[in-house]
Amino acid sequence: MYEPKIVAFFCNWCTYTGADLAGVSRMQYAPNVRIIRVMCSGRVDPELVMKAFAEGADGVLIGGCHPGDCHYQSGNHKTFRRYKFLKAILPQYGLDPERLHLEWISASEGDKVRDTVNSFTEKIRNLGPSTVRETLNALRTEEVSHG
Amino acid sequence: MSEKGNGKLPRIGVYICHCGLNIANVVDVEAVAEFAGKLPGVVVAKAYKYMCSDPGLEMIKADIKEQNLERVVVASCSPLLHEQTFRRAIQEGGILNPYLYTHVNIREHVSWVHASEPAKATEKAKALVAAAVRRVSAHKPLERKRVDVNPDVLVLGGGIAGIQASLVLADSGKKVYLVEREPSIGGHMAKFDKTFPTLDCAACILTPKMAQVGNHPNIELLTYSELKEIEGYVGNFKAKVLKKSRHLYLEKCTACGECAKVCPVEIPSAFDENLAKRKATYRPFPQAVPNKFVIERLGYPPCQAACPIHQNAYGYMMMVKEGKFAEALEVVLRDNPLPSLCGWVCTHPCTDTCTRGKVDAPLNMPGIKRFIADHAGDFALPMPKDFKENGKKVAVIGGGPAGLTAAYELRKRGYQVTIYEAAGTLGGMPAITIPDYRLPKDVLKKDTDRIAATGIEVRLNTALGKDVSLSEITKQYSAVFIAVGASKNRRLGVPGEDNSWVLPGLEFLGRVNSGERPNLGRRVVVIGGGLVAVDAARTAVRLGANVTLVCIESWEEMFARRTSEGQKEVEQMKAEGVEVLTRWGPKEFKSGGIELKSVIRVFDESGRFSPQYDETKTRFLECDTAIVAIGQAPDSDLFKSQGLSVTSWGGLDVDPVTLQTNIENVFAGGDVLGPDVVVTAMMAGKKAAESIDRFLNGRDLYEGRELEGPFEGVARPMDLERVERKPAIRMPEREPSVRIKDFADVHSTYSPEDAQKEASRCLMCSICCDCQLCKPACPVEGCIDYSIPDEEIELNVGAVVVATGFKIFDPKRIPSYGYGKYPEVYTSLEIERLVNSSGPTEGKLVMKNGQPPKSVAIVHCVGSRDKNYNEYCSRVCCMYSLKLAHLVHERTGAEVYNFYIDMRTPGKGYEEFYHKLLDEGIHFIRGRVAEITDWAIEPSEKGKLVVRVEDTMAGMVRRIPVDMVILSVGLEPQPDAQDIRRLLKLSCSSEGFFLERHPKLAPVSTVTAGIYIAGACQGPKDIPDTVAQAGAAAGEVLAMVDRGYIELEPIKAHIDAEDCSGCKMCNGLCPYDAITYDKERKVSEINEVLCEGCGTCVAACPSGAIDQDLFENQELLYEIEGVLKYV
Amino acid sequence: MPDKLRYAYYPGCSLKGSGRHYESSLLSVFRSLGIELEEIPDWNCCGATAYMSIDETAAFGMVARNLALARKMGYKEIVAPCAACYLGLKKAQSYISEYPHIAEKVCSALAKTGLECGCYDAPFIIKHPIEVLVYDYGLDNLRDKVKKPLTGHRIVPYYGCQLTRPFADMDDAFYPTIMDRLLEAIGAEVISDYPLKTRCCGGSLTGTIPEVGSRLSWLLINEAKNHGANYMVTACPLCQFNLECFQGRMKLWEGKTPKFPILYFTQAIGIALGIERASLGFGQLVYKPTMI
Repeated sequence: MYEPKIVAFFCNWCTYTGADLAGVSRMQYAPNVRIIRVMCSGRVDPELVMKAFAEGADGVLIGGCHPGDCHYQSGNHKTFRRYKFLKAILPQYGLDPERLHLEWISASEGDKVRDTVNSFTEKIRNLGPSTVRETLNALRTEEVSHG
Repeated sequence: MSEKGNGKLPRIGVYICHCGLNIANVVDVEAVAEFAGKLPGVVVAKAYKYMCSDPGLEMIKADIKEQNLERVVVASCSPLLHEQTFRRAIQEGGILNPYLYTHVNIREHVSWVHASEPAKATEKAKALVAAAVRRVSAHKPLERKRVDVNPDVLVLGGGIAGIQASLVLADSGKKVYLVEREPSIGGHMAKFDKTFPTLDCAACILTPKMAQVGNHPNIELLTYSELKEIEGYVGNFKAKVLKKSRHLYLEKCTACGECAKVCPVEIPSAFDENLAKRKATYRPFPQAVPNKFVIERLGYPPCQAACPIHQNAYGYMMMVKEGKFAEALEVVLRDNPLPSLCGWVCTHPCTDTCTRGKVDAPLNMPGIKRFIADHAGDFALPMPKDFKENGKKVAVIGGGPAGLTAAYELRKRGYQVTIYEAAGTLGGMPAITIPDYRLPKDVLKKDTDRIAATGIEVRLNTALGKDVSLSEITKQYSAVFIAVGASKNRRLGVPGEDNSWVLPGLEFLGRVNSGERPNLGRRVVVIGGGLVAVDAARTAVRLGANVTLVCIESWEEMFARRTSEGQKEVEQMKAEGVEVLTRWGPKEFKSGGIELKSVIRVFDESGRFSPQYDETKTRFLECDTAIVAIGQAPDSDLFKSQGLSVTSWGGLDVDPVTLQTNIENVFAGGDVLGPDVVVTAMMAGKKAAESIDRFLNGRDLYEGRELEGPFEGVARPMDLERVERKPAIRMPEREPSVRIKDFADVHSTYSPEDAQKEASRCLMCSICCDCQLCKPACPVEGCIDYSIPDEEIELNVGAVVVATGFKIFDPKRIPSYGYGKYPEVYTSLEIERLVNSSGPTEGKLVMKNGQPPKSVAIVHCVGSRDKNYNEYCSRVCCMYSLKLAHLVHERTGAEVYNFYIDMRTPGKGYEEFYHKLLDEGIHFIRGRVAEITDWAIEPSEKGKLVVRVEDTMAGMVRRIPVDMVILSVGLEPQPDAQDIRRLLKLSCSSEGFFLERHPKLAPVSTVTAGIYIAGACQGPKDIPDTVAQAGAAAGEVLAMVDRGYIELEPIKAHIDAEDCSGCKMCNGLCPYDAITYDKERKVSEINEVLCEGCGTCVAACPSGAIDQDLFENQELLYEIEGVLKYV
Repeated sequence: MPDKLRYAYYPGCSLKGSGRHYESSLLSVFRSLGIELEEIPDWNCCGATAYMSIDETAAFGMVARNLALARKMGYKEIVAPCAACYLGLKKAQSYISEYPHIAEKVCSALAKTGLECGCYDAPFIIKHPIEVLVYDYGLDNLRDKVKKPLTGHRIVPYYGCQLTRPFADMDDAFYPTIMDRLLEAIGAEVISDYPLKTRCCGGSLTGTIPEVGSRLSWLLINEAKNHGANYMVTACPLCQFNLECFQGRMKLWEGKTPKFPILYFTQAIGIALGIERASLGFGQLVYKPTMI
């Protein structure tokens, strides 16, 4: 059966630590999410999200500190704006905006990491595999070439 | 394909950690290693039991040398735990730059969270390793930036934790700033009597330490202060601390306590858990450090704030309560030169906002003020000690409340003031129209005479526009204040209004007031719903008529009833037999009476006054005299004739803030702006005086006048439901049937006893009542100074120790335990105070009735280990319950019952202490108490508190009657812990305590470098643990500070000037203003020192000119590629 | 005045049997206040009987049927006067919405009877008449309607076990005051510090261990007398029946039959609103308060 591949960008201070806490507390959740650590969710360039989809991710999850709690004061607000923007443009690439999700998760919310990962995985499972990789092939090679 | 761009791949070594079985049990580590071996660029791939152990690290080093590796990847636990370890290792290897390394988390993020799905877990591990391998190939060598560390330390919280940390740091020669929000350090420990298990007295071990802190040359103690802001980073923090004003100079205060002796204010003492009272000028406890007093002033109380002239009602209430009537008068006269007038007829907005009003009935502030004035008899108005004439002349036109107040205020400032009054007596409207039964002439005269007596020239019978013109006056005087009031009767404009038997209200009142007793006939109708109408009606009653008052408003809308004073007047009027006919308006005055028409509405939707009538619905009211009192208006023609501009509806046109008219040295206020009440007119007088003084001295007319006029006051937090009810003491009032026979005063003044009783109902909202008795009482010259403002100071420190402590659980949240309902149910902290020799009962443990209890129940785990409140165990309750059990038993010989779920006594000598108590014959009953009730079934339970509990040892439900119940309440985070967390960028555990960086390996560090935690703010703990932790925190600080520098992770962003288009998009994004725009080169630049490395700008740069070390675009793109490409 | 209040009405078995005077008083009070109740057609047991303890899922199914019927009528709110029904409906609903597997069973069961269970729609708001009067109708409005304030009536407000536990939506689980406020609004002298407000009425035991059950009941009545109460009002048919009808057995504890009046709160309100006693089912009371 189809196992979705999900890329997650977690901020170093809140959500990544929260994921560590989930581990320490031995909470069990779906193995479909692969976490990439950034210092702040504000670092998540739309390009990175598109890249993930281009590389065949079926869903992308962004995790940051709760508003007002950002370790860098306001990075997460910027994230939120980009998130809205991405949601708007995803359809133009034939992507269901539901494949992108943003969640505020603090360092003490291991349970929220679990629940978010599980529910998002379920959602993506129901959406089925993303076909965008093929359609974006051109874009992908181009991107990599100037890397 | 993706290899192109950076030519051949670097030689990569990959190491997979078993972490004992932690990882290997779930993830097939060998398979992962094998998989990694096949990845492009990987030359070595190994799995090993403990990668972080020496052999593991040696293995890596060896490989680096032999296989001349250029990159290393380790997959083990969370990078937050061991990333540094491995970086250090490959550096020690001497060959590799520590940043040619990537760490993979396959424990917290894989094996521990996918325990039941080994296959999928292994797959995920492979993907993560692939990602790291791909990423690491793009890594570049990086250098850590060294930053000097400021050796000074900020300690937050002056409890035992903060004290200990401060002393350790200070003793090692570091400068320490200890910030405590209470006036004294000591925290909770200072409240305790004894400490478990050794039973040595808390004070004996704490106070010496407190004293040390107080005297330590390296400790700067900032009590009564709070952290407001903090910025910067490890080694270089900049903190803003608010030093609240004590309203006295610390260095001068000798703690003699004379100020407290004279302070009339008494409120519950928080230090004594509200079991005792304290003054507004106080020191929390005798051994306080610093041993200084503080005068706690919250600002204007609601009554004073609501008063247009900010009369300090609270202040004179306190004085009267103390029986200090002369001082009371002083307080009154400070803000109010017309005490009798206000005492008798003020509409007193103060009472409408009185906090007592929310409990039972507001205090009678005007009544008390009247008492003060009456009681004082003859007195003069105070003039400034340093009074001197300034030679300038000011004219005040109009001798009413506004004019009189202005005249006095100006006189105090040294002006030569002349009052022009049209009438034959001073006093204005009140003198002319307010009937004697409300305001006897002689009473008002005393007030006006006093003002004249301050050296003010009065010209009676001199009307503006008639006897003298404004231009003449302005010639002689430097400034003028016009307060001639609103003397014109409003007319109804209905037929027959000019009949001889239809009298204008003001004129009628004026005639009666001047001694006439006109014959009104038998039936009188008064038209109007305002206070003047009410005056007219009651006057008519006193002239022997049957009076009906007709107003267009409904009973609720009635103008007179808008103030509580007015409501009182209306009630008295009705009591005197006046009929009130609402929602009727006059249609025509016909012979023998008035035809009335019914009212449809008085106010329109937007609340504006625009009456509408149903002309068809009418009724006829017979009467001999009609009095029309529908309000009065300013005389706009007069103003125009004097060259003053007028508003559309006839009032004088003035600047609302300065009261300046169109003529720059002419000011105006009071009813000339539109009819209003006495006290607002007085406010106008004060404002005008201030404006004129500023004007004549060339000062700004607007600056700093926000606090003029009414606003919302402050009240200390009170549980109004539990405030003791005290019925209002009424002023003596003559029987209606008697009082209507003459014009004598309706009320008579309070007796001193009653006045004191009434005044003592005050709830002391704003703590200090500003009576200013303490200043003269203080033996040290210039120590007390009420004008000392709060001060914000800035501190530069390298590290912060947070020791903000805890708060106790509020047992009111468990209604079935009856705390706050039954007086004999106490919290453990309250008992600490009761058994404390310096506590409210000097250590005698007695019930509210003064008797010692014969039986006492101690209920454990109140608010702890309970899903409904806090699930965690508060750790200290068992032990302090034992301690209290021992003390109670020892002091009173009472039978003591402990109700516990489990006894938790881990710690040196703790279990032994438990057994000691068992031997002492303390009862232990295992089971959570269901409820505490005064419901007696058996006679033996009568008058006692019954503890209902399931005894899980005996396996039965028991009812145990006791005299006193002690609730062993749990520990909770401080209510403002979240604010501190935000301020310092900490994290909190789910229950709200501050989160340590690692539960075992970094118990006092936090996620934010340079900020450490100690004591109960990190979680419930007892004194020994707290002290130990404080020491540890101090140690960590020293370790960092003494190195002298810290190395910052090389994660900073940098701009490639070549690619920068100078669009400035990034400049605004940076939370640290690290990005600036270089006008010459037309590119943006990043200040390395300021940059904290969030990368927000990188994500935003449209031309891809910004990149971030260690999180370069290329690196992240590769990581994404890798994580998806192979599995 | 609140605009038209309309609810689906789930009487439950008691109000058609032992608690008929509860229903008659409730309906006439609501009628005089202009609150509309429409009885759910063909309603069935609320499951509160032994059912709930024997086969929960089945019990939930039965409740779900009632809810489904109400949904067909197009209501969002249901009034359940019997404390047991009130609890049964609430409980079932919360289980159905919390546990998908239960919802599934229930749905398929109802589907067979051709009913739309709507398990996944927004849940109903289950209300007790007290909530309707206090929160929806408003005490001030009620005050205006009082014709004969119950001045001088010393009343014990007795809530029983099911009204506020485990769902404390209405008020505090152990020290509710909502009925106190209701009775104060109609001018009664409420004994608010009555400590046994939510203590067991013994109802569950009168059948099985009579002497224990009747002692529990007697304790309530005895304590009410100690507080100088003229009578007690309840909001639960079982409490009312149990406290009133077994007073004979209380000889055992008191030496004589207490003869202490136990009314429904709706009967007290009815009196205050000036409704004649006949339509308040006073005839069905065993012991009548002397002052009424």
